[in-house]
Amino acid sequence: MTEPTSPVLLHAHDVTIGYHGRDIVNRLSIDIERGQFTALLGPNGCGKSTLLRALAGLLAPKSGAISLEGQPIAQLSRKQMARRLSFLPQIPRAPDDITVRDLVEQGRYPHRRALAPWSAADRAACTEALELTHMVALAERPLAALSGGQRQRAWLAMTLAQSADILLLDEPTTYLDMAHQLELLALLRRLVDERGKTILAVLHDINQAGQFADKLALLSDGEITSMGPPADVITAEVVRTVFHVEGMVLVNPMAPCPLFLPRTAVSSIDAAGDDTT
Amino acid sequence: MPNPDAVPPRHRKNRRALGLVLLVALVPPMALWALTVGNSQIAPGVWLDALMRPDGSREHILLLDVRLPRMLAALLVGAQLAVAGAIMQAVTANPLASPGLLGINAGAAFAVVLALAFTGIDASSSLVWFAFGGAGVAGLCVYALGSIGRGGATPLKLALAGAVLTAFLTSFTTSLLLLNQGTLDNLRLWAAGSLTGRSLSTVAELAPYGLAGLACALAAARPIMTLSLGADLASTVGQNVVRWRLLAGLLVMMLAGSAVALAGPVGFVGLVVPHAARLLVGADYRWIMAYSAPLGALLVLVADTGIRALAGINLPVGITMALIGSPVFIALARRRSGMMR
Repeated sequence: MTEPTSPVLLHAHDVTIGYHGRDIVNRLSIDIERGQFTALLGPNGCGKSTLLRALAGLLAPKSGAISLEGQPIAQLSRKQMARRLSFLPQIPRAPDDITVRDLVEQGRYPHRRALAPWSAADRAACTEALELTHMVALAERPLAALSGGQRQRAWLAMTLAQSADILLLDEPTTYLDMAHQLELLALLRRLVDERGKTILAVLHDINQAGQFADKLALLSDGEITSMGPPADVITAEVVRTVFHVEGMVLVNPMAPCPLFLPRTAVSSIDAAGDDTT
Repeated sequence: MPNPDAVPPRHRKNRRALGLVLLVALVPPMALWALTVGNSQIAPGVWLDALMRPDGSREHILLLDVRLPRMLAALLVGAQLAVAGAIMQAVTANPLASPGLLGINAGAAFAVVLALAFTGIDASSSLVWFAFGGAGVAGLCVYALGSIGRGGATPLKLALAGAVLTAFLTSFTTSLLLLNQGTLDNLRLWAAGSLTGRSLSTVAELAPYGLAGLACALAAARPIMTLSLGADLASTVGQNVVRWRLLAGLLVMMLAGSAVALAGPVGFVGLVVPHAARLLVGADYRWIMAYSAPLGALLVLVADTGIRALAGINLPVGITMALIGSPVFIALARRRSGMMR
């Protein structure tokens, strides 16, 4: 059992996760520490989304255990879980004609009791979520009338309205242009620094991840191959093994963490020294 | 396509609330009008007399024993089937879901006729339980049939499964009625969906189930709205999707089952009304369900009364609804065919 004061908030121990008889994540263990921004990176199909869904309690692992502050998540109801942890799927879906405000208000679901009226706390959480994501002016628009980036921000607003301490975000920057990507990552950073949130986000750009996250976790073939502060993880060797990309690591003149400069993709056979596939 | 222009939330809410008040306010005058329509001309003022000081005159008996129960049944059946359809469309994200199309009405009707033919039970308060059972079993069968094969329960496959089961059950219902002509003669009108010949006591026995169903549905509007956004979203915001789907299914069973026990399998109300409500209020199922109740009540009342007022013929309301509903159904199927695959 983990003490409540332990830095580990979300803990997966020796979990195997799969669908339809195929194991996607194999005996993986990971600790997500309180008040940190952890970026999860890895090549396509390595099991990032599967791991995130399992950590969110939406997919039961075949074996192993996942616990939230020492309590097995299998024992928590969906509602108890949603009060403490919010999850944004990679391709969230909702009817096209729902307005941003109605969507964001759905984030209050776990806090509301049957027949209880809309409370001041509910209103405050939604307003704050809309403000943080710069969606106030667009709140009355239907989702269908938004650009991809605006829609992504609407979904993030719903996730924030949930007022959970932990945010699990599956590729939150994918549909955004560069400016909106940086803006969103800066927002996530601020949520960690100013609100004490704990964030685990799947990201694709290792340099962005290094710039904004406290820790990087690299996932390859369903296993965590390396995890630690960006400066420790971003090495030419690690990137070649995990992403099959050849390149070099440079000193970033603007930030303390190193910068990876990709040169070329290498075929997986050449790159994988210890790769069993 | 909804208007993308920003409407301040308070205005939008006020407008929706005002619309709902207007719709509900329309019900009493239309109900009084329905009392005046029929073969005998009865002056509009007589109903007050009949209610306050029934004197056993032919006019009073006609009003209290024939027209009043018929009017009340129309309102109940309309509201119940429309709300049942709204719940089904919300939960299945299927624009064609409705108690008529997915075989639930046919299942309830078959169970009622079966009970009448073989058990001799004829109290409405007992028959309604057969209707609930028939509705539930038919719903499960259609879901199971429609889920077979690739892609799971798509709207089109569910609608086909519903059509097959409806045809199958309706032919059995008809055979039972034909074989037992003597005892079940008065049921043949009912089996086509009719409000004729309901007694006030039948309405009074069945109304509590329908009203309880409507009250529960409106109380559960918020979780049903969340469910309408899809299982994935619903469970991420903390909803127990399995539990709420089950509860929604029970509500549909209760609403559609007691409506069928009252008026037989009246189709298209549950299909058409939620779509009309959606056009008026947008995607929010809390409002769609609230609007569906008065809209459904008004539609069935006007369909049943209007054809008598205009053509002077006493057509079963199931047939009138099919005449109104079929073109709407075709328009829906054409417009939303992109969503059905």
